[in-house]
Amino acid sequence: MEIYQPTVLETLGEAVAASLEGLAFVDVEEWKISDDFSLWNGKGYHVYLDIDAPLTLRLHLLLDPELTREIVATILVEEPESVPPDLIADTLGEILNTLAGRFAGELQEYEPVIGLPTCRWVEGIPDSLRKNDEKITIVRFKLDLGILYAVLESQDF
Amino acid sequence: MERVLIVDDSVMARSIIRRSLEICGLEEVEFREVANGKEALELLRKETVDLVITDLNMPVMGGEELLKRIKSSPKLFGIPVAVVSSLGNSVKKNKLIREYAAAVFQKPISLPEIQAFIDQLGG
Repeated sequence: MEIYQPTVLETLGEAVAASLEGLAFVDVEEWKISDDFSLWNGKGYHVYLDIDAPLTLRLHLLLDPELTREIVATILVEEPESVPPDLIADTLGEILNTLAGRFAGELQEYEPVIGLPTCRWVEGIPDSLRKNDEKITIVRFKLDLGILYAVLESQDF
Repeated sequence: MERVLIVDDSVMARSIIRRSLEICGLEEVEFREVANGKEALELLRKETVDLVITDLNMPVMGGEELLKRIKSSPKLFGIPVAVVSSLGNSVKKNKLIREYAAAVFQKPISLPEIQAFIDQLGG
C-alpha cells in the first residue's frame, strides 16, 4: 500500500477542521508542519490513540488548558469556568476519536481500525514525543481560539 | 416511540445524541444510557426499548458485536439499531448495513440526517 505524505497531511487537516467545526464550532484558520512545539505553553492535555488500518500510526493531540476549557464548554453548552473536570478527558477522547475516524476513513476505501483514546495531563513535551523524534510529524493548527498540535507518530514516514 | 437506548462510552457523546434526538421531536421519550455493548445486552434482557443508538468503538464490547448479537436474537431482532460512528467511509457503512443496521451516522452527528431517520421510523 502506498500512501503519500501530502495526502496523509491534507486528510488530517480536513479531518481536524471538520471535527472541531462540527462538534464545537471552532474554526481552523491555518495549519502547517512544524519542526517543534515552540508555541506549546508547557502544560496541558495530551490525548492519543492508535490507528491500525489503513496504516499504522499513533495520533496525538496537545491542547493547552484554556483552549480545552473553551472547546469542552462549547460542546457541553456550559460556561468555561463551569466545565466539570471529569468530563474533560471524556470530551477530548471523543474529539480525537471523531477526527481519527474521519482521517482514517478518508485515507482509503478500506475498513479503518482505531483504538480507544487515552487522555492525561502533561507538563512539558510528553516523553513519548521526545524519544521518537525521527518518527514523528508535528502539525500546528491555528484555531480561532488558540493553538492545537497534532502529531503523527509512525514508522512509515 | 417510548424508550430509546443510547450506547456510548463517552458521557459527552451520549449527551449530544440525546439532545439531537430531543431536538428532532423525541423530547417525550424515555432515554436509557449505557457505556458499552455488554451493558446494553444486560439492559435489553430486562427492559423493552424501541430503538438502540450505538457507538462502534467502545471498550468491553463494541457496537458491531452488539449489532450482531441483537440481530441474531429472536427476541431482539426487531429492534432497529442505528450506529453513530466516527468511521466515515463507505466500506464500513455498507458492512454495517449488510449486518442489518437501520442507519449509520457519521460523527459529528447531523440533525437533518437524524430527523430523516426519526421520520422514517414514524417518530
